[in-house]
Amino acid sequence: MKLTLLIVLAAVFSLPAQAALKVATLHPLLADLARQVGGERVEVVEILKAGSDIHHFEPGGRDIAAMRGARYILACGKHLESYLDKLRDSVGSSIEVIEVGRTIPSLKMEPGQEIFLCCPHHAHSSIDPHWWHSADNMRRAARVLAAVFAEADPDGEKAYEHAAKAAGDRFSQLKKWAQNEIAAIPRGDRKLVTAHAAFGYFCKEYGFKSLPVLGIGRSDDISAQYIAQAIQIIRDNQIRAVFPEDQANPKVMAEIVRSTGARTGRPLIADGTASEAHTFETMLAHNVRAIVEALKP
Amino acid sequence: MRGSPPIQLFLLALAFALLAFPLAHLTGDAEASAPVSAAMPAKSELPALIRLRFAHPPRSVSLTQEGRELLTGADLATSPVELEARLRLGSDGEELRLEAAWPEGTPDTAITVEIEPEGHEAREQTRWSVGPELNELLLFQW
Repeated sequence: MKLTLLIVLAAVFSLPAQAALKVATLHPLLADLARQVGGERVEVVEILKAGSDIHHFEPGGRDIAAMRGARYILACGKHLESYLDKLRDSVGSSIEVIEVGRTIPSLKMEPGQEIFLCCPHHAHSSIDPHWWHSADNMRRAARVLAAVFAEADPDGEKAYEHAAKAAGDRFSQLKKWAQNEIAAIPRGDRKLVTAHAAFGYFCKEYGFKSLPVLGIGRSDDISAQYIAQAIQIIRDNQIRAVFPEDQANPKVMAEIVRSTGARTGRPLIADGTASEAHTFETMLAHNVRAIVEALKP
Repeated sequence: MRGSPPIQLFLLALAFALLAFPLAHLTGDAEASAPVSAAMPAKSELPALIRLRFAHPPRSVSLTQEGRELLTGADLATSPVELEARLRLGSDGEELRLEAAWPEGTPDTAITVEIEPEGHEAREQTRWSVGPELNELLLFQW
């Protein structure tokens, strides 16, 4: 009898503690950040997973079902998720949608540069939605999550604050590492040529000039005019390397390289959803290494 | 018919042949050489007045240019802080690194850096901390 009781008690205490809070996330970077800040107190349900395309995603019936029981839905905000109003109607008032990027300082596109934003949906008010490329913004986001989680789970307030600070310290260390790595690139060569203007926050944080050119985007049908413009921009700015998208047209890239002598860098991770790098740390490390590798003398 | 057709044809062919050289150069497979690093313009060193303004006194502030500290001897007890330093100026602008730290518990706060090199207009930039820390690149141009 005593042995049976002991076995039962051991089984009960070895069961995983039930999380105090459940949240659903609409971006893998937010899922990772929610785990870092929430720890064991927060159960994270990833709706948009790594490997998905944030520019063509909209939650379906199964996704809505997976969100049931969540207290919050964490979205990036800054008009990245153009479906949020519909989502709010679908899930009802019991689940609050938190736009994590709402209080993070925005960057606006320069006039005339709107065509280089990732897609028309995300060019609303010409605000660049890719705020996750900045370590400082990720630190702000960690604090937003800590405050949001504490509101629903006041008992965990200290734990969330502590975890958000620890995450923020890690991001600060990573930023210093990135600054030291990038110091190897002469200042005159800190020009980032990409297909879309997704790296504004990165460029501001690390002192790069962003030069988007449509000729190196993922398309089989790039006009000769865009290719000629790309070549001219690369020559005029004495660009050492360009960073095409993963599925850029290889013939167009070959023409650009032949005409300018610029190198082709490894594709950069713009949306934070790559299967092999879908946390802030892995994304930033990949991008910094690829940029330094291509641009340092 | 006047003139000799063979001579006229020869002259026409010669004209085309002369055009062929520049056309072939423009459209041919001449390998472009890799661009060299964008050369940095020559710099001059000037005395400059640096002024810091802040809402909350920081525990420490550092403003460096190419690793060289510009704020040597700054007294951070009150705002504004003014001191003189020597600044290297190039026509391509100057990138300075600003780092600051405040006591734990300080809310997000701002610091303004104003620089007035001798013979040049003052320029200023303001940055906000994230909690008690700030680490930013500032680009000034004159």
